[in-house]
Amino acid sequence: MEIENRTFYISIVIVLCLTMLLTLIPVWQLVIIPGIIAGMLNKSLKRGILSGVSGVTLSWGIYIIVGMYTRNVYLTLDQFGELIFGGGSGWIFLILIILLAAIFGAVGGGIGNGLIAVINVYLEKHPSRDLKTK
Amino acid sequence: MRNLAKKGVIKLSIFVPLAIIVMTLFSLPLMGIPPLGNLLFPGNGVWKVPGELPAAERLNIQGLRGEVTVIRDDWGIPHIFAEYEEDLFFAQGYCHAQDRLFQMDMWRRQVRGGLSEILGESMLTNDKIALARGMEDSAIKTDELLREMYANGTLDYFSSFERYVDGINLYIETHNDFKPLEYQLTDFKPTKWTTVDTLCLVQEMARQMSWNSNDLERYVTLQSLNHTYYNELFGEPLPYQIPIIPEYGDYPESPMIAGVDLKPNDALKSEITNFLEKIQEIDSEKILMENQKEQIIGSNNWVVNGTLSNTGSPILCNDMHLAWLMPGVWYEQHLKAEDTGFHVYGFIIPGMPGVAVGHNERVGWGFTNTGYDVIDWYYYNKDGPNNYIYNGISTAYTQKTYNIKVKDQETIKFVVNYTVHGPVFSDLIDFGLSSSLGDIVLAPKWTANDYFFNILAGNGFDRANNRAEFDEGSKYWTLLAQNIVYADIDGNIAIRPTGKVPIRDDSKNPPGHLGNGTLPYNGSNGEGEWTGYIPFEELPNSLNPSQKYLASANQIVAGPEYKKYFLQNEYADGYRARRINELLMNAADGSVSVETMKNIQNDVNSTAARAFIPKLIDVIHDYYGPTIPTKINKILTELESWGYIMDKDKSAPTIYRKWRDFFQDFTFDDESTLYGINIRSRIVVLEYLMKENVSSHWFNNISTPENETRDDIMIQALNATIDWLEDFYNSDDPTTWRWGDLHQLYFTSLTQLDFLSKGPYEADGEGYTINPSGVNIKNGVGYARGGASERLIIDFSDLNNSLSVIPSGQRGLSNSKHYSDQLEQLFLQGKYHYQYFSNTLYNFPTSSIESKLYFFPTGG
Repeated sequence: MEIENRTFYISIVIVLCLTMLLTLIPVWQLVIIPGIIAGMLNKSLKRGILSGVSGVTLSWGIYIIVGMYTRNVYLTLDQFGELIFGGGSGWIFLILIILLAAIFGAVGGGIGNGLIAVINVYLEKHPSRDLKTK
Repeated sequence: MRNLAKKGVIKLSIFVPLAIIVMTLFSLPLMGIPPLGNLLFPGNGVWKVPGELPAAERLNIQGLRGEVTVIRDDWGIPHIFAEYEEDLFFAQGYCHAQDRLFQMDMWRRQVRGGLSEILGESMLTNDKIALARGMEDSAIKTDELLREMYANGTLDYFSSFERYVDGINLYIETHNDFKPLEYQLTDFKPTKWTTVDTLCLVQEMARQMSWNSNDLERYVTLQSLNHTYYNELFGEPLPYQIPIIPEYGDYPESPMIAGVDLKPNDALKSEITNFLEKIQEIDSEKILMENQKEQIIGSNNWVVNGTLSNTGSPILCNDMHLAWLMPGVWYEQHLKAEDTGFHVYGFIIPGMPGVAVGHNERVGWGFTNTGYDVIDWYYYNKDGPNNYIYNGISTAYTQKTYNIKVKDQETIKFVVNYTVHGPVFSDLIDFGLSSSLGDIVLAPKWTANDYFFNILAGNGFDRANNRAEFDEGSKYWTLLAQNIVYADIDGNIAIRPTGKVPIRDDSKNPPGHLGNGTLPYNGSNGEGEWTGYIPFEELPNSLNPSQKYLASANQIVAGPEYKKYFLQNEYADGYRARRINELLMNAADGSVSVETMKNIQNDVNSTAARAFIPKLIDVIHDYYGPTIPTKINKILTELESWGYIMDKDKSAPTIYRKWRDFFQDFTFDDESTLYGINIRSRIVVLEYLMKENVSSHWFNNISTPENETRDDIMIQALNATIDWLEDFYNSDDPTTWRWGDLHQLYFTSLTQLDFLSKGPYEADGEGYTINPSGVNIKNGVGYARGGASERLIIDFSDLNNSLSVIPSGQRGLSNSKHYSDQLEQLFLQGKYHYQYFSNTLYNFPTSSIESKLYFFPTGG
């Protein structure tokens, strides 16, 4: 249980760092990858999803706070929000971004967890290719 | 084992489709907006919009000769200090791109027909018109000539120009992922900047200030009225003009010149009318015509000599009136190079090097538009699909094909026919707007289609040490004819209305043709050929006049004693000029200070109101005698206690303006209906008729059996005004009719998006006050969308005491505090900022330094 807990926390940190690194690449779709890794690192689906959600959300949350303080991005979001929802609606985008971070983390976690289950079965069926036993 | 695999597959089959759905949703464009994922998610879109500049930044640049330091002051204005001049221009280009890249990009696209490429098919017509106008072609051929001159050693300035362009391109290359919000919303990337792009911006200014189809409009009016009626309303010169150049006398008050009627030509009139209607369906043309009609394009400049000023040295002022945009038209900067001593401060269109209006250590200058007639329209008989008759001979069009890129579509080929004079514009109404004109074609000849050297003139101004050197620069001022006001630290003041002004051969004109490019010419008969341009030396100008000041506000350039050449048929009504002259003429020696100049630039005393309202008051008393109705008496009370200040909190300005509109409508609506065209004289002509021609037939309402007099119409207009205002304000108490409720300022974003625009702001003033803000209040609240695009006051006793302001902010980034700071904190309150002109890199006030950018040569 203790090992599983440690893995869970470590996976959150890994996801957080990886998500942060991926913001340097202007292809947002890659954000699914940290979640997948979270799902693969945790045995249980619940923990996989939770660590994906926590890592990605925390990472984007930090990014948002830093961006808002250093580059006045909230004003830009507000201006953009006015185009779609009307004045003073930058907060809608902030909530949307955080919500989407959680969704991407969760979905990634789910995919990762499913993927690792399938991979493990495959590796057990083909032990010679099991890297862990080498 | 099988269970585990099954569970894994189930998880995948739930989460993978979910991932695909969410990702697809955020990867698709929505209502014309690029994919939300690209715009919103960290690492993308809004998160990469450049923010404020870092407090200190160091750039190592290959190819730089020495070090350059850019100090940004409290308003974000760059003060660029360079060891070498070529590096100075490089840094200027970089700063322009850093602050105004989207604006620069859109303007060049507007001239070069590149809007469809980014905005789609809806901009195709605008692009076609822009290309047909030939502005890009002129820029390209001028660029080639300048390069040739540079190659053969007759022009050394081109290297600085190229370094400026290099600076822009460095920014573009290094910031391709960090673009302003407008780029994120339109989803395109800026391409490399070229010297041609810069020259295109000169062309764009020429378009705004000198392109028009007034010859055609005048033709329709003249053909609808008779010559006498035409001259009563549109004759030359306009009444009450105070010429800019004082040495050529004053005009008599009467503007009426009798003439011979032009032979009727209904077919031509109808085809021109059709053309004018259709051309206004094109956005770019409609906006241009509206700006010209509302006299948004104008300006003020004046200068007093050391006798009139309280400093013993000249004080020069300039505020150029253009459409208000966010970001503003002008970019302000301070440039200083150690190697050549180049040291200048002032305004420039971002995308151009140097300074267009401002001062160096010895001389200063400012512009107003002259209104010189630099465009003529020609009509020709068609001769089959490929020919037209020119000077009696069937002549083939020359053709030019343009390729226009259109977003999400294939590139479109666009062919323009040219006559000997210019592009066949009547062809252009074919592209989806309407059917072609009948048997004639129309083509304009415009000075902007020739070579132009304004960029060299600007360079000459920036380096001039005295009037003679400044004049050498002025000789290159070919496009955009301007009244260039001048002063220097030696105490000289001068004004030179200059630019390329064509001389026409009017010998073939038919009887009744007004000549001088006032009406379209019959190209098939060889009428109105340009035989040359007025020589620079022959244009009127003034140096150190006895009146101790010089002033221009787009009024007529020269008085009746200037007989050498015809100059213009378009100029302002002259109300701003009246007020400026009144204030300066009555100023005592030694009384005019910088503070006085600030007050004059922000003056909202309406000479137009002063021209009309006393007469209205007289008429009310005469009309009603001692029994003035209560309602009108209330109005009278407001008007009689008014000092003609267009104060936003007063009601008299509201009454004056609405009444003036009704007075004009009631005078001309009946004739407009009769002749089938919208007849509206200039306001100053209405003033003339009201004062000097009380029994004018124009006052009689021909749609009624009665014979109305001027007084009848003035009172009818007053009653209509009261009804309208009671209805609009929902109050019959005139003291509640605040001018500010009707008269507001609006600063439109270049994107036309409201959330990037500023305003509306209630404001003092009107279109005819020195501080101008013309509005149309026909249907309710009027929004002034143009006026002073910069204000500059140069104090030649201490250049460090000079002041300036722009009605936006220095940076075009909507998330920057410098997007609208000058507008909100200075301009709207009539305030200014200092220029720190005498400060150097080493003694710049620390408290005023917002950021520093250091450019070092590679390895430095």
